[in-house]
Amino acid sequence: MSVDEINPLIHVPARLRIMATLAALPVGDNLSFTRLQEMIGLSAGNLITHLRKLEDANYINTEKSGLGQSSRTQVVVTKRGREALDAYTATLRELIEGF
Amino acid sequence: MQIALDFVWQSRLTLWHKPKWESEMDQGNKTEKTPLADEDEQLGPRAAAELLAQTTNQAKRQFDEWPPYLLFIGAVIFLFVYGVVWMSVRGQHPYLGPSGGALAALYGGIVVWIITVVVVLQRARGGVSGRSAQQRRTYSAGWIVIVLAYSTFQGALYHAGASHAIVYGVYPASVVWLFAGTAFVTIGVIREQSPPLALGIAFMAIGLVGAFAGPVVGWLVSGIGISVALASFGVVRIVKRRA
Repeated sequence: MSVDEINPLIHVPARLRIMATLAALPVGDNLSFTRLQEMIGLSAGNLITHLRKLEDANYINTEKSGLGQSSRTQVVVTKRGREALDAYTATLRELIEGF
Repeated sequence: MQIALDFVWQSRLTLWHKPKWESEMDQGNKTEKTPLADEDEQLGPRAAAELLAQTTNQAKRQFDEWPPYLLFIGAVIFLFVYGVVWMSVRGQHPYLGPSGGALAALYGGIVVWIITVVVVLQRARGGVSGRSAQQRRTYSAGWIVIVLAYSTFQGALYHAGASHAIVYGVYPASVVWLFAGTAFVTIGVIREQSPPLALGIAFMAIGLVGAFAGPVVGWLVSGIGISVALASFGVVRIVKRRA
């Protein structure tokens, strides 16, 4: 097992924190963008960029409701995202044990 | 070849590609650049594992609807209010029931506890929606039914001529915990979770022991029992967090 096998999409501090935070919720639950931003501590623009990358990989889904200024976005980790995070965690464990 | 700038066409193009999260972005700085400097940050496996563990623990704490401090607060409240009631009925022969002041303390304490629980739950659940939110609405409806059933049955006991020792003693001091315990046991069984199951069994045991202890000592037994049960659960949750 080498460092090259680490999932590069998740292996970025901000996205790792996003995935870990969303995965801490029970399956079937989603989190508002505002609460996620508050918990992660990123700026809105920065968070959106990371969420977009994760969504492109189908690790998360976003759902927008409402219109205009009152619109809200909910973010949920997908099954694929949870599996990717589990695989990433297993890879880290193997690398650390192998050191 | 020069291309004339057509701002009308350009603005239409901008609106067509309007970012999905524009309303959230509007809350921040619209002109902010997103350099994503952390893309280049070197993150070793150990540092990543630590960050993952730390973030997961922090998230679980923030989503925790029953943090240890809430259980400790509950332990203190119930010990205090049940202690006040016990002091007011101690030595009553025949048993008449708690004094007005003691009842005020009891209901006041319960209101304080309910408000505290609601505040903590709202903080934990803020921004969270989905399956668990739907479950909670169902459980809330269930709790309302249980409270109504408990209160109505007390009225039925009074109407049937049951003594003060039963209606204003054993029933509110001890039987109430049989109702609460049954609810928690049911939740534990449905969700297949041992914490609510264990708490429910503890409440039921306290209720049964208190019922046998009688209308006066039952208040003391329930106060100490519930306090110890809640505090113990608080300690267990702290230990599990650190594990």
